[in-house]
Amino acid sequence: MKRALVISVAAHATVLFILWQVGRSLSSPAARGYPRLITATLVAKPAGALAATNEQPAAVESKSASAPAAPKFKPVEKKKEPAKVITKGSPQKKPSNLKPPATKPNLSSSSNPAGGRGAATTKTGAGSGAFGGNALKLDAVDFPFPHYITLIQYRIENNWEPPFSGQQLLATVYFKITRSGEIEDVKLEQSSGNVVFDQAAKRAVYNANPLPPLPADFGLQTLGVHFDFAAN
Amino acid sequence: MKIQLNKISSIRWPFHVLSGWCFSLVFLVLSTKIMAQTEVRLRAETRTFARLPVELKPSQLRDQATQELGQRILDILDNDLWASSTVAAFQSEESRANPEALRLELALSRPTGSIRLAVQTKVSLLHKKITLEGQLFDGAANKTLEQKIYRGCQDNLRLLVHALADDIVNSLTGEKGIAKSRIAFTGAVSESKEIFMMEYDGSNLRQATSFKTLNLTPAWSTDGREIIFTSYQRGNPDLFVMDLIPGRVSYLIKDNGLHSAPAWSPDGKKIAFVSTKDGNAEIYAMEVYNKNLQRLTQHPAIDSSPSWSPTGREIVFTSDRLGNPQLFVMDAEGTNLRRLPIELGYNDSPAWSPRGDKIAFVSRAPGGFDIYIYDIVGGTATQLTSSAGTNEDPCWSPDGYRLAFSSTRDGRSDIYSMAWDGVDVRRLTFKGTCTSPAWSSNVRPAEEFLCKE
Repeated sequence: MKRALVISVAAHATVLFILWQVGRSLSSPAARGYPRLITATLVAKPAGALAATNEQPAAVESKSASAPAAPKFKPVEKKKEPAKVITKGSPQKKPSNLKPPATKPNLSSSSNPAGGRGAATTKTGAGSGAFGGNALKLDAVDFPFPHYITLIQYRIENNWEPPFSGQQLLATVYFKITRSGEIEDVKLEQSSGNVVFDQAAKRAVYNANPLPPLPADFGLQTLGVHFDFAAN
Repeated sequence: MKIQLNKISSIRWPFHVLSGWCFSLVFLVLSTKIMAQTEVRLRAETRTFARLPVELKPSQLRDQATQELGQRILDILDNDLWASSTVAAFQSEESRANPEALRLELALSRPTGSIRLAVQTKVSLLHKKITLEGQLFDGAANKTLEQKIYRGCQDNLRLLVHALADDIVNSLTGEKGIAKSRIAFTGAVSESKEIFMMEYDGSNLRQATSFKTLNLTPAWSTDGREIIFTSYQRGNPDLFVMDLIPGRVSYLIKDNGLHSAPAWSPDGKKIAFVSTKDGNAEIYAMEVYNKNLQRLTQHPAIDSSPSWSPTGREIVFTSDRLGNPQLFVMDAEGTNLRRLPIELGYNDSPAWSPRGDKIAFVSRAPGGFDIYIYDIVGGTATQLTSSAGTNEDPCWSPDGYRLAFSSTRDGRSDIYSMAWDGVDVRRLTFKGTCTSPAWSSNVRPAEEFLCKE
């Protein structure tokens, strides 16, 4: 009787151990050569860059139907007649052009002094300014989808509204991205010591939900990300 | 409390869009220093997202496809991607014609890091059937990111391109895109009022009903197949449902009393609406499959205009139980009632954003109504319209970045759309009798792509 019990316990323990090992090897991303985590850093924009943007003319809501002057998208249906199907070099193209020439000088003049957006957000330019841009650091050098990291960084950055602090702060937020791009398990991994700054960092992540779907070739169900939000 | 718009110009460029928050930050710093009193309420959020620059390569033409067709595809795609509020599309031809523009575009594309996004379309046309192949690639690494083929009838070219545009937007941002979405509304035809529908930008306008009676307050099903509306066909305002694919109309509710303002729950299983069948206007929810009714409000005052939260767990509605119309939120079962703390006298027509964080509504102004947005997180209301005439019936685009509404700003009532911060107003209809817009999801039934036999 006692022997049977010992054998039974031993057999169960063996089976459990085997199951545990198999489960571990199946679920371990490292075993497949996939990185588990990536790290990205966001740095607040310089105060110098802010000043350059005041030139924007104030205009709320143009009241008339002349709104098409803001050519973000254009009603195409009105051009249905074949004569207006636009071909290259057609004179009609200019008025309906998405980017009227008038706005172009505006852009170049504003982008130069600001600089930060243009140069410092590239990977290569990450170290170029005291502020500006976001240094993208990858723990895993072999994550083979650089475009995806760029896209999620872009999106989170665009949803980040850091409070004005004037201090050097760094908050790290950890979250997971599911295959469909949903954000899960958002956690404040490292507090900056400033509650408002921490909340802004977390909110940037929440507001960016959903992110682009994970690349189809990526083998795992979720991707973990550490996101650094920094103010200099 | 004074509410004032933080004026921001219509934003055309990713850079400008980005600079929105910089602008407001400076404004905030300045305003706290200069103005000791909080006279100005800042917008809770500026539009902080920058558009992603995406180059549209000239279409590659195969089998009978013409240059004209290729360019038409690019133009539709261009328009659709800009309408998404998240992508800045530009065509290669424009850049090539203007070297300065090319340089700027390259500068613009830097914020996306080391990638340069581009879309290549390949099109073939055989026996009126179009095959459109869309390829999203990274020009810097010369790597294909996504690839998809769309097939359909030549007559449905716009829809095929819309589908491509929405997929591009989804791949790049995770957003849904609005290119496939439609707007239904009420418009007058001689003595009667009929339901019309059009694409998100006002194109492809068509009349959906012709009952020669009053047909009002359309609402879309989540799958884009059906529209519910109030109709006086029987002389009494009843709810009807129209299946758009066969174009068949049937009764949804035939009962005594008025039935109006239907709203489909996000999961498509329930319909909330207003009915006076028990005496005064109350909100009811109906199970779609077995037509079981549940009364949600119990109050002698008038309860109206239900709108579901995107989770389907709550409903926002108008009630005058406190004396004048105010916005209330209740759980989907009618419990947990609370008033939205909006300090304005007369509020109506709430519409919950598909993103969940905002509720658009109208508030009475001297000349009629104006559209406001209530920010749920910040608890603040922001005025979006302030024009002559009245602005009513706001409804959200499926991505939650735009609002459609009816306005009399140009004399008579037409449908307009604007970004959620009040900029970029576009007139969509020119009939002069259009009201109650309803914006569909971006789902389109597969049958719509096919040729009509």
